[in-house]
Amino acid sequence: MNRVTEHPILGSMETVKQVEITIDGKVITALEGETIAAALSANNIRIFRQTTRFKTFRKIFCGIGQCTDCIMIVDGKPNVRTCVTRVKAGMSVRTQIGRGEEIFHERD
Amino acid sequence: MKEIDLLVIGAGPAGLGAAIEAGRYGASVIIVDDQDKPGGQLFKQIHKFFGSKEHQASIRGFQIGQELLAEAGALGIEINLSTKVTGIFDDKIVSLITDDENVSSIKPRKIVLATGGAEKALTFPGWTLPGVITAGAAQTLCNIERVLPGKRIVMIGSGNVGLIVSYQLLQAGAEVAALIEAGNKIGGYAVHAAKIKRAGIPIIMGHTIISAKGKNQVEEIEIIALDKNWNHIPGSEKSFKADTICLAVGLNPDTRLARLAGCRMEYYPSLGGFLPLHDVNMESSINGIFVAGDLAGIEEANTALDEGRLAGISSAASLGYIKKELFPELRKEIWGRLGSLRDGSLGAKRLSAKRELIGEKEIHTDLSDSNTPDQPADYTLKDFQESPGFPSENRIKRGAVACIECAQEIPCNPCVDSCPSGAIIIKDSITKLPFLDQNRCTGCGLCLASCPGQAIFLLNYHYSDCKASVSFPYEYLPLPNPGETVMGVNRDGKPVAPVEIIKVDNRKRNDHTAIITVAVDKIFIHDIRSIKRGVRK
Repeated sequence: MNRVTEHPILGSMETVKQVEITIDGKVITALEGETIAAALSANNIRIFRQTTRFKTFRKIFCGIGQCTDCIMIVDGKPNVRTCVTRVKAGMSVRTQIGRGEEIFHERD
Repeated sequence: MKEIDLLVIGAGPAGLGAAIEAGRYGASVIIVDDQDKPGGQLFKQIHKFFGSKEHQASIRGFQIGQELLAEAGALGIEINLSTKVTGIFDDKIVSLITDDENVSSIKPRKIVLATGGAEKALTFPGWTLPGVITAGAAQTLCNIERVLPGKRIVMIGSGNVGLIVSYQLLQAGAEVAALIEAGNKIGGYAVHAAKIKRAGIPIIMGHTIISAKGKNQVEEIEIIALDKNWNHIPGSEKSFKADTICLAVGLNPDTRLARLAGCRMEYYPSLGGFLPLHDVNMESSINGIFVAGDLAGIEEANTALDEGRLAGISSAASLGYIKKELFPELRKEIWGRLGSLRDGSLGAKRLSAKRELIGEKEIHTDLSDSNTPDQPADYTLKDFQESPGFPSENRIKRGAVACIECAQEIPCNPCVDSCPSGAIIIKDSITKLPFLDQNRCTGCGLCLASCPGQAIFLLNYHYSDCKASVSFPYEYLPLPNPGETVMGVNRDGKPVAPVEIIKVDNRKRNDHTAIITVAVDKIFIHDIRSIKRGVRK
């Protein structure tokens, strides 16, 4: 976990309800109200999708919904910008390959 | 279809400023924003802002955001979030989609576009690897989401964004391995650079990134030196380990909606590239569509706020809510504030671009054109000693005195207001360097926490027979404890000598800028300016 629990300016992190979401079927803990991208980053998950042609991995880039590099399959819906979409308990997040037709199996 | 006076698109500082001013004069205003929280990028700005009292200097960005939201709320301004604009038509009908499913239309009489900017990317082999992110994304993660974007970070670019986000990453507890700058001068404020230098972060000038390496994510960064013509110098390659590379290489105005509306565009490199042309009222080439903030040229948040206020006043005036005689006065007042923010060598290019594009004398400030000499690549003790805020050696030996290490003209003056003795003076323009009236200075130290640049220190030559004391601002965790001995560091973050912590003043009025006083050997009174940062648990 790499959460900033204490901060010299912002103080201690507020206690927030924890929720469980799944990433490619694996359960991880997220904080209610945070973005999917933040939850994955907090869980040291750095691969969000794989490109169609070159099969390279991508992750959060701009962080404010402009670049679409962080898109994933969320509750079955592909191309969801995870940096501006907030987690919900039980949400299913899947690594997206290309446009989202294939299922990603490689996560270790 | 709902009809209103003014639709503001974008709930950042420019949009909020526009809505508040128009609302204040009686216009019915709605703000829409595509994000699910208002404030644009303001809530990520956790540092104290520059400027003057009118610009809310010395107040942190997110607190300014809270005040603006409260003000908008008190005026009954509706902010529709998670709402995207999908069309702007000739009759100003705007089509919207909320929560990606609810489609609606609205008919405003005037529109303010305050869509902000978009960070630029930099391409190099490996730039798409996970771990290469924009500085803005890093700021969002560590200040809003409270997640570190990485453990060992390299920042590319020494503009204010690169400098500030590096500092904020340190505050959040990340390691910043280095900051890389292609040019031979720091792009942003010297005082921002000084903060991260005191923290021991190497700023590598005249270098650029040539690749990011790693299997599935960033593991290593390779940089190379550049010659005067920006060519790579073969053989100068250096590599180091990093898991995150932050790009702080500037922004472009986000012109998508302005283009959609048909606003005429022009290219102004010093303002970030293509932007909608606008006049002295911030009105675009399309009658009734105003622009403000980063969309109208990439600048700082306080500039965006004032441009927004101007757009709001102009739209309210054009709707008849402001008396014809009053409007030019209000406008002049805002242009005066904007002029002071753009004054000085760092703002000169932006000011002249704005003058060129607006083409009116109106935006002249009362100030003479800036003829500031070229800035040095780095400010040294000698530069500070020659600047008007530095006390004389005789004065230092007489007892406690403020020592202002502010040698670069930037628009800022909270130190003046903070001094109860009137010992700090900035004449003519807020960009001028602070002058210390050293005989008036009582050495109270109230100015230290007020300085957004953290550039004021308190020197007490007579702390004891053999020791002097040095006080400095400090915004990291953990805070040291009085009585502890820690390593004193110089302006480059290099160890000088062990020092004893005498006092840690973190009172409320300092607003989280702790003032730390250390006892140092008298010979180090001009060297020690901070302490080695402690290790976070």
